[in-house]
Amino acid sequence: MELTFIKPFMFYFFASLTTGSALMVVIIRNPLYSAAMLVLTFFSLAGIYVLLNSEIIAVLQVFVYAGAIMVLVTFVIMLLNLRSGALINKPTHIIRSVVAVIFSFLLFICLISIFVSGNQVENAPKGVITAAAIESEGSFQLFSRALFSEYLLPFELVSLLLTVAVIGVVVLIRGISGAEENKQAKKGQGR
Amino acid sequence: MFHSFGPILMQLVLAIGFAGAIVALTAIIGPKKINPVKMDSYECGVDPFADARGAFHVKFFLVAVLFILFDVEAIFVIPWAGSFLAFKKAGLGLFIYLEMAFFMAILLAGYYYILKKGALKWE
Amino acid sequence: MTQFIYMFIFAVIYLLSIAVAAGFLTVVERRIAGRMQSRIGPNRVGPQGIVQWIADAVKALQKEDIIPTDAHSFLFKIAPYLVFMGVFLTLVPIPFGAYTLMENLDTGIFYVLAMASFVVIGVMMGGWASNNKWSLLGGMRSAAQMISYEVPAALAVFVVVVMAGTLNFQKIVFSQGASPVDWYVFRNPFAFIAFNIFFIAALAEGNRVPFDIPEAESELVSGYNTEYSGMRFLFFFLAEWGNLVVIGALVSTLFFGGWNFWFEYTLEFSVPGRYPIRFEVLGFLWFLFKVSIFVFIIIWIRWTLPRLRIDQLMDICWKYMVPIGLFASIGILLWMYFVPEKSLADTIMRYSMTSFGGLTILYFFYRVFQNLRVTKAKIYANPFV
Repeated sequence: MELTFIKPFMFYFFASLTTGSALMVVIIRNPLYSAAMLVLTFFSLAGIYVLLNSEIIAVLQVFVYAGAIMVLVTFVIMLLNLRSGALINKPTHIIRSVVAVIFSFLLFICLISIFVSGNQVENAPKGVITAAAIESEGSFQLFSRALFSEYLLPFELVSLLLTVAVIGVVVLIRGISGAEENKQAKKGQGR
Repeated sequence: MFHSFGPILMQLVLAIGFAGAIVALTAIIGPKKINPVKMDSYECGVDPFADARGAFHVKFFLVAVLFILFDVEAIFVIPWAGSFLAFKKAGLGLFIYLEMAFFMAILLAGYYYILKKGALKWE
Repeated sequence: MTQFIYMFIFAVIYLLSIAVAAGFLTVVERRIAGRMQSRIGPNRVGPQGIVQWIADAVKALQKEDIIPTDAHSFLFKIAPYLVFMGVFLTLVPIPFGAYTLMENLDTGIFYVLAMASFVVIGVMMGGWASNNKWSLLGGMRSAAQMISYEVPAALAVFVVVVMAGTLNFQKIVFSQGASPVDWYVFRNPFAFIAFNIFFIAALAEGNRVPFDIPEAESELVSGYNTEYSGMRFLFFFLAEWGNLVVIGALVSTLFFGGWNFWFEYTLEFSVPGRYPIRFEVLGFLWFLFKVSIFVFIIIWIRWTLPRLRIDQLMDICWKYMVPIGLFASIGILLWMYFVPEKSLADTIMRYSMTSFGGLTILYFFYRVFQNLRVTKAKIYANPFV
């Protein structure tokens, strides 16, 4: 296609959009603004996936993260009724910040090591899923074939994980609303 | 595929550009008479009291979490449905059926648990 | 470069035609509502009031763009864009004809589901940013409702995907035939259940009556868009009526054979240029006809049914539609396994369901005309006054 020459520009555009908006998520003090920025981050990440020829991952990214996860995040922000900077102004425990620093440093080292060992990645065995394969069969078909044959066990485990999550949520919510009901009952007695 | 998403990007830019241009146009054409009463929030004629952004019931949160669970389920189940005919043609019909039956059984157990616990009761 | 220009022109035409359709539908809805309530409705601007929407748009254009002092101006400003974008981008992978489609996405169904989430985020942000009690309540309820009803919608879509074996809308249209016997609604009972669930869930996602709790005029003023005025309000409005087109197009593509016209689409036609242009036009008109029938039904429902309460709404979703959807999806799996296509049982089921559907519609018209004859309600039955 004629438009291929745009591709690098598109990559830099989306990459800078992703990093920029991700930075904004951290920097902005109003939690809902950073939630809006998070939507932008997910969206531009989807753009990068499209550039990598992985249509299905891009769409799923938007579907799950920009859709479901974002709704949850926004609900939580609204539920807790966080004012701007409410969390930031809270004094943090020293041990907690030390642990956080250590773990983020480790994560950073992991990322850096991937970039540094770029050579190794290039020499790694190439998979069957090449751009040509995607072009001829479609990323969706390849994705689902791999998911339901090679990665069968993780797929089945996901269902277990989801069920555990369901149970966890129900228990948590019942705890919260049970406490509320108790409070209300006590109030009623007081009157 | 890059070229198949080109039109979408274009449509996105156009839609936002179109909307933005029209809003900009109203900003030029429309009147700008600011007075404090007009800029107040609408509260049926009463002076707005307190901040509107109060705390919400935790049920909304429950709905959101359940939605995520079913959403994640959908991203596994719909690809299964899409590739099921292909698997059937390859003679793996029973295999792929059992796969899904197992998946569905566990999820149904979870759903039954929610119903039983009355978590979906909306008072 | 020429390709780029074609793409651009096509995108512009697409955007404008959807905007015009949405605007036009607002007038149509008001006219139908008027006639259903024995009023006249807007009939002054243009013949039968068909250019009323232009007058409305011009009026809204001259209005002041009010952003309340207490509102978060950034979120308040971007919310209408998000909603508008969510609705308009949804139509991209839906085919209006063999070639009349924006983009033939292989992941079309996921794409549509993904775009629906932008509407949710936009509504929620708009409601929250307004700093108005009605807006916030409306936004929260709306978001809770939309996400809840996405679950049964996804289950109904699952049934279609099982039968079609693809997520590509164009291929879904191809795998159904032209005649009603081949449409997915009449293929088997489970698909019929799925169609009903999908249609109801789509109504709820579009915030239409009987699921218009977010905009319940008598309780919440106007819901999440209370504080909006002028053009920004109009974008919420356009998105709502654009959504009617989206629902109609989705339902007719997934369950009613899409644009597929009265003859089989053979492989010979799949070479571009071999497909005669008149077939393309006929298919397009046929599709529009189906879409307008569904749009009419949605409007009809709006002016017929009362509104639900929020607990009833949530109960209907989680306790009725989700289990029924699960039942339909398990049923379709068994059906597909035990009843191979073109077997005797399959054929009998198709023909009996189609004839049952046809007879129901005929009986409906029989009742309507019978009623008209008995009550002699000539004046009220006239759509053009």
